[in-house]
Amino acid sequence: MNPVALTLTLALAAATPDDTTVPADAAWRAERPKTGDPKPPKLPVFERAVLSNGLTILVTQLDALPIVSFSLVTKGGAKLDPKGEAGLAAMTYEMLGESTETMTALELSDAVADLGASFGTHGDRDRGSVSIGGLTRNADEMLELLASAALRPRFAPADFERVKQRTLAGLFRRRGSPQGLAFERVPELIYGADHPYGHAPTGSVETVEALTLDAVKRYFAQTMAPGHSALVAAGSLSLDEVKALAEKHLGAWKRDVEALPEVPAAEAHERTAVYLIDKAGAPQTMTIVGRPVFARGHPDEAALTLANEVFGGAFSSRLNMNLREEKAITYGASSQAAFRDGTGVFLAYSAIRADATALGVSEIFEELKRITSNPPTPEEVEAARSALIKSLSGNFERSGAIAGAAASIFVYELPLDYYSTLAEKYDEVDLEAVRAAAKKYLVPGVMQVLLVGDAAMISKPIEALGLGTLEVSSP
Amino acid sequence: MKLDTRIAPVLLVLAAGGCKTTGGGDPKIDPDVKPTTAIEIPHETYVLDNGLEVILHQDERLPLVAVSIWYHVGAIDEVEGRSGFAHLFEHMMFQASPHVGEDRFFRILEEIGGTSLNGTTNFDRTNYFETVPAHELETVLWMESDRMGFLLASLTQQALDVQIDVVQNERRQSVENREYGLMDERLTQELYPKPHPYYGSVIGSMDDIGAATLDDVREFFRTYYTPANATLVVAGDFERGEAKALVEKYFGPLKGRPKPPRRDVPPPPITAPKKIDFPEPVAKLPKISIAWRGPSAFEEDTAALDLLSHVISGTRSARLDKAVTFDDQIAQSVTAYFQEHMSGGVFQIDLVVRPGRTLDEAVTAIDGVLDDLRKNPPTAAELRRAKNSQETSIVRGLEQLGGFGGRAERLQLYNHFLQDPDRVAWDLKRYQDVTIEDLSRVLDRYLTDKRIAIHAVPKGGAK
Repeated sequence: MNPVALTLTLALAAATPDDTTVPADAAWRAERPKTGDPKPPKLPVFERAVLSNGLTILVTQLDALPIVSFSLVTKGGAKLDPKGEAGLAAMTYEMLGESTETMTALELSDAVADLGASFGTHGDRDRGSVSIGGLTRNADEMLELLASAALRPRFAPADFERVKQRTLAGLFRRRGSPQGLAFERVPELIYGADHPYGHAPTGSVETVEALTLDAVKRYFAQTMAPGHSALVAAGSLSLDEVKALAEKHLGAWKRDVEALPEVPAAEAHERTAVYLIDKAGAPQTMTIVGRPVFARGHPDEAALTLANEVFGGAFSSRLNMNLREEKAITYGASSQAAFRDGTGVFLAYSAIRADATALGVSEIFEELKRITSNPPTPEEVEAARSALIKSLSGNFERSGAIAGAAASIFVYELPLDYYSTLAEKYDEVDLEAVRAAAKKYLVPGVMQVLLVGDAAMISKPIEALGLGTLEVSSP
Repeated sequence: MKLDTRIAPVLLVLAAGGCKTTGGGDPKIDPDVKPTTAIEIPHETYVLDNGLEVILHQDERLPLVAVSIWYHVGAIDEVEGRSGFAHLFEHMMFQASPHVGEDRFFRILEEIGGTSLNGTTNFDRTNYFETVPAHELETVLWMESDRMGFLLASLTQQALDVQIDVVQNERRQSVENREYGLMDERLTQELYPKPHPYYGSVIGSMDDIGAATLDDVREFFRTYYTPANATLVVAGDFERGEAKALVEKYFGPLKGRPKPPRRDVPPPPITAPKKIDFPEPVAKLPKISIAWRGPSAFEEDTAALDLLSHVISGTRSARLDKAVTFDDQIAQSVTAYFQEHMSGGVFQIDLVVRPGRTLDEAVTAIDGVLDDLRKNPPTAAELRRAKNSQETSIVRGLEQLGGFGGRAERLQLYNHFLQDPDRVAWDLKRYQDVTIEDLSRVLDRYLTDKRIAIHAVPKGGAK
């Protein structure tokens, strides 16, 4: 530190009045400012067209930057993984980033890099996607690459072996991570192993080990079809421009496939069970508490969304304020209600200090009881409603978020104005409906509990809570 | 397949009421035009009487306004025995201020529809940001000015005790119970030995976090959270005169000490090769990190080191990625990156080996690639791809007003490190100006045998 500056600082510090009291002339600050009327929110506009081959086009035109992102979204995903082949959809989409009929995997990667574009593929529960984004002036070349990768994969045995070994190494690694372990196991505990959502979309070391290139080819042939797919575009291109490009690169794509099977409904378990994966010496316990709820489009969707916001969805929710700010046994606790094509889930989760695991789990269950015994207050519900409605504009600031919403519109067959009418849906839910949804779905007695932590330290105190049977396993 | 690989010359002005672009929509590019991208984030900068810097950036496309405050204080200002204090203090800023109340900050921001809400601390600075519906600008200025001006009036021992626990939980979550978290911390300790203030890796040690007192909080606030040590950015849809009046109303009356001098902490050199064996308690696969000392943020050679990292890793045909994930499939994952800090940058390569492969094989492969890169310098295509990737990542971030990488943060970044928010075009150009010779030069100059290699081997062996 410069000695002159130090002297100056000390001299002035001595002259500073005590700043632990508020000066009287600041009293006006006690009143929260009255803000004016909100400007009308600007939500993305989705435009749709369908090509003659059945491919849907969904476009949101954004002219702020000369960039555009494309995503070819196909219905299906990991819910179609056959029994014993968990991870097949994810593996198939991985293979769509490899060699094509005209390019090796390295040539594809270089072509993307030459355009300054980004490219990725992803297989999730209800969908798979192949995406590319970059400067709008490269749109033609980008779509050519996307079509080559997604429609004309080479499915070379050497590529498959490499991708499989890489995937296996990643899945093996995941078993070292408390979160990774938890999210690999939780779908089975919530849905049961036989349900289409009863496995992690990535599969596990054991199921991926069993995958073959023939299975990948079969999955591709059975699912990748224009009638099940949409080209989603967000960026500085109009619907007509995207349509013309899609016609050029994807218009000749023809394949008929069978209709997708319905996802059977999943019921909640009759009673709570606790599953503990032993991670000796872990200073925290990764904790997940959850149950299946209902599919998208269910009449309780908006009410449960509001109830969840009060329970654990927001930073200021009951769950986080209790576990983080009051008990101070975690860095954060939250919950989500996730809606899918078939039955969705409610999950509450937190990484809890190891020696306070039982307290934390017990408090999660106490909050579940309280959400019924001490139901959401009008103030809580209005705050939740306000947060959900007023954050809509902000949540659509990035083209990535807009493209994600467009993909959901297609996959879940939502109306084009779904997001712009969400505010009305939240507005229509009254206090009683929120309370009823909380009581109906946030039921402690049916929740399944998954813990990843130090069994020697936590299993006795957890058992003493008497929540249900305790099953301990190794990772 | 033949592709046009030039980047369009793009001039972007992210301006009020829309933006000007030239060249962006033109499908035919003059082959003689040099690849250039110029971007501006138009803004006005001024300083209040109390020393608070204000930067206004208008953009009316969405009915949103982003507010970002950077306090020019970070882990670099910590003293021995108080590692992690800058970050712990950041937590205290969310607890209570006298006029807004206790635990109201997040509650109000959530209720008014705030998005991208956060506070973060790193080695060199602490920031607080939120994006809200445009008409709520005054609410945010009210809250931010209350904690900047009067935090100490609502400070309690109980609130500090709770945040000490919360931050210790954060340390468990982000360091102790995370794969390779303790390994990363150990590497930082080796790169910045005591008494260098980066030693504590921002989060600090359990003991130091637990040792914080109310007096520490008070003194830190008085020294570093003075208006003269902060910069306020308001970005988005607002009327300029109105915004200025509101900023003056809420921040103008705040008093405080003059701006403290920034600590000038020299980066410790690495004087000899060092290898550390680290028993990894969480992960299942062995990992190696190799780190070299680089120049400090925005100094000469930083752009070249950034681009060199892209040549080495990040795409499938990058030199190291191809070697260890295609040719000989040693790696589960591999990355190379250059980290810019005020006190000495770090060039780093991380590699996690697959089951059955060894860290010795990884070292051989990495050294093989670096040797090859010395003999066979990056090609024009490799350099161009690296530049494209760097540019795209900067431009993509500018989609948002606030949040990580958004326009408000970019103005703050340049202002903090270069004392000039108006550097986005300069920043892009410094990447465009890098040559193949620059890449070879920085490779020779920085990626020498004076490096620290840390080998993390899972406890109980890799199974």
